[in-house]
Amino acid sequence: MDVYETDETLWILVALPGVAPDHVKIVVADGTLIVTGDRPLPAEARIGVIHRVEIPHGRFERRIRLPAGRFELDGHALANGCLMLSLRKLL
Amino acid sequence: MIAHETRDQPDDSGTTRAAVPPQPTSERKALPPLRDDALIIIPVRNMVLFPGVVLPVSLGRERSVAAAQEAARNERPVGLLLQRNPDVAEPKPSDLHEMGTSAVILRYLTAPDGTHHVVCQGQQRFRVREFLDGYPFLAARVEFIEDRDVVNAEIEARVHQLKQRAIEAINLLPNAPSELAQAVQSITSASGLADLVASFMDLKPSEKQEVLETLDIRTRLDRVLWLLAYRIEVLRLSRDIGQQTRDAMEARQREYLLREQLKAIQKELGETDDKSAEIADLSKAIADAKMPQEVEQQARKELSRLERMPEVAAEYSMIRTYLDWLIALPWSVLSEEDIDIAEARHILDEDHYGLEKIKRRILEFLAIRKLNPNGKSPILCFVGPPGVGKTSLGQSIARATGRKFVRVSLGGVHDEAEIRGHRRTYIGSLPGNIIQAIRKAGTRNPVMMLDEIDKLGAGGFHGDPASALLEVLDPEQNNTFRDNYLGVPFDLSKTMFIATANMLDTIPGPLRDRMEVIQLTGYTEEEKVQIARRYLVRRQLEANGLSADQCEITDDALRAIIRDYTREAGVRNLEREIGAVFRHVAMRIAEGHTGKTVIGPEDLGRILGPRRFESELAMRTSVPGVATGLAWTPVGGDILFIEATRIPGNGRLTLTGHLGDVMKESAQIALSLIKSRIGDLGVPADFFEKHDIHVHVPAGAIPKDGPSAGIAMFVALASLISGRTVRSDVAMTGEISLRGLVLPVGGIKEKVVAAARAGITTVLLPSRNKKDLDDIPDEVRRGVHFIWIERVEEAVRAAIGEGVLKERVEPEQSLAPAE
Repeated sequence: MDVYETDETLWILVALPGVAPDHVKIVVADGTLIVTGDRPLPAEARIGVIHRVEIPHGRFERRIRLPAGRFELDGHALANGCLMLSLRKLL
Repeated sequence: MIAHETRDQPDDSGTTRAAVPPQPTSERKALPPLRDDALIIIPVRNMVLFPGVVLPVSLGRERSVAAAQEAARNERPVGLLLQRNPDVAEPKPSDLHEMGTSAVILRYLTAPDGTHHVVCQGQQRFRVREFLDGYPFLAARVEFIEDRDVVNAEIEARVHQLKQRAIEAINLLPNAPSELAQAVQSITSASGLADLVASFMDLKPSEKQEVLETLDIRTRLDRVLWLLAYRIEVLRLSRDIGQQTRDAMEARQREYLLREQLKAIQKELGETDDKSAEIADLSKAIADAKMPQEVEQQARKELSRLERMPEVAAEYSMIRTYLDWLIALPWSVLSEEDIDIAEARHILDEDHYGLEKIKRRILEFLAIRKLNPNGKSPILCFVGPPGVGKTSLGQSIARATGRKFVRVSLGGVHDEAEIRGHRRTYIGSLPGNIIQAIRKAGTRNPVMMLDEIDKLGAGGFHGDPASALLEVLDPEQNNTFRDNYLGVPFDLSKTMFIATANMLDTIPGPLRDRMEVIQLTGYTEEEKVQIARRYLVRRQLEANGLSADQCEITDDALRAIIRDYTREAGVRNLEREIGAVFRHVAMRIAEGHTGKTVIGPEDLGRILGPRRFESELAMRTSVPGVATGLAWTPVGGDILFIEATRIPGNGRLTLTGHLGDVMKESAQIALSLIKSRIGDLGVPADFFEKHDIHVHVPAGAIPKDGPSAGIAMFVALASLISGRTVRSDVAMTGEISLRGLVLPVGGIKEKVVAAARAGITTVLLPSRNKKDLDDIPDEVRRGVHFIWIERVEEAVRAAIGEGVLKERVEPEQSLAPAE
């Protein structure tokens, strides 16, 4: 997870390959950004033999403390397996 | 990493799946569906999963992999059962415990090395009912066991206690995650707490299994509490041990660090006393000392001991001191001997007036030394009265021979160890006086003066110092003189020993025997004048801050001091009196008198007071019955008055004056002789029936002994009885026999010198002492008239006058021709 800051906006980049957008939930509470989600074993695994499982699967949750100040979720985009969040600073 | 994986991926997950081992192809067959009360069983070794606990499980065995995959695929729970024996590779149902915990697989993952793992979370205890066949893994029909939390005071108390103890244990664990304590704190279920604590504790799998199988909640809590208490104890102990080890390490580390700093500081200050540098210095010093082989070996041995010893050890300084002694001794240092007889004679003459015999002996020694450089040094013993210059003679010998001079005072030494040192075992031990003197001299061939050897203390229980000296003074032995402290031999054979003594009598025979005794007589008046003129006057002028221009003392004045103010063999009192005269002059000058002061004999009365030693001879012998004898004392010769008087009585003899037995006998002999010759004295035959005789020898407090006053007693008695006085300028010595013969005595030299000093002009000596005339200084010989006597009659004639005692031919002699 990366965090960038410009004068007006806080950019947060979360790597979420193989996770369907509707399985991800983003909450900002108490100055903390919480990303929760679920990456189930792919359907193919359910009928075959597992040789390697290196990409983490199952439920996950990530919490990040945001810099001081008030923020408002401005927009989000899922591209190339990464979720890009932009938070606008409220002055 | 990702690129690498993506390249591999098509092969693994693509069409060739069937070709990949080790998964059996039987997977493809449809397995009989498991009933709801059946569980896929994964046998595990060395771990026990408790309900509510998340644990990673490594899957090593094919059957376990198959079981886990089956469960993961179908999102079914698994059951973990502990093997009874961890060594069994393919456990059969009978190898497993019957009770386990069911778990959900949270995550299935493979490590980069290809091993399979599952992370599972314990759900519930179960007991196996029966194992099911027909699956490529273990499966069993199970009975789930519900945990019923009972809440009562007993349980509450245990829960409370367990929480506290568990947190205590977590704090003791070396790297426990911080959330663990929180988890323990927040747990509410009693069974959950027991399971959680049992899980994180470092217990043996069998112990954990036992906890797992304990279904009664109270018993389980007790069991966990007990195990926990034990673990805490172990943890605490191991932490303490660890702490102690760390403390010890830290202390050592700290010391090392400080020492390094100290070293650095010392280096900065230029005080590098690095021990190794010290050892190196010592080693070099040992090599430089050129010790004999045996000694060097000993020194090296001690050095290596020193090297292995910490600097703070008590023995360190002891060994260090010992080595310093070994190094400091002049093992091979010799004064250069450049023997020049003429120069040596000059030096001896310059320092001492007279003493010809001793100077001759020294020059003889030097001459021999020149001819035979390896000869043994003589061991001389100067015997003479005090103040005649024995000690200073030693110094002058050293100067004449070009050697160092050291003095060892033996007066009052009563401990053998003072000669030969203490053994090194004693604290504060040091070598003896001999070795200390050698070190002081710095050479192996000094002139060593053993002063006052006759005053060595008697051997008490500290051993006999005189006996210790025997080894030192034996030229055959002293090349291996062994000091107790050093413990190695030192060669004293090149050392020239000179002992001094006032009298020979108190020197033990064996010691006396080892030395060449040289007698120093007292000085004559003329010699004293010379000594005063040459040395004492100059020295005293200097001591009193006067110059020769300010003060002068005439020879006559010196003579007057010698005669009237001192009576001694040596010159110590003379020097003191000269000093008194100069002090008087110094005071006058300090008071402001200028100009040169000349001291003549007439000034002495004013300065030194009335004459101290009157020439009492005239007065003393002005009555009949007083004769002048001569005595020998350790401080030189002296004159002696014999007083005799008669009192009415019946012929008894009274003797006074602290006389010894021999002297009393002499008096008896003199009286008997007089009695036997009563007829020849011209007095009535009954003289002794009416008179007692009293003989006194002043001074009454001084003990006197010896036979040599016999003749003087006889003369005194003869004078008394005849009523004629003895000539005041005559003195005499000699033993008498009952036949009237005068027998020879010792100490003639000192006696004659004393007589001359006392103003005697005629000395009566036994004729058999004529041989001693050579010893008497020329100057004395010139001033004194000697009369050699054989018989008492001759003495009476010479001392009193003709006709006192009729000459009588010895009866034996007169009768002999008749027979």
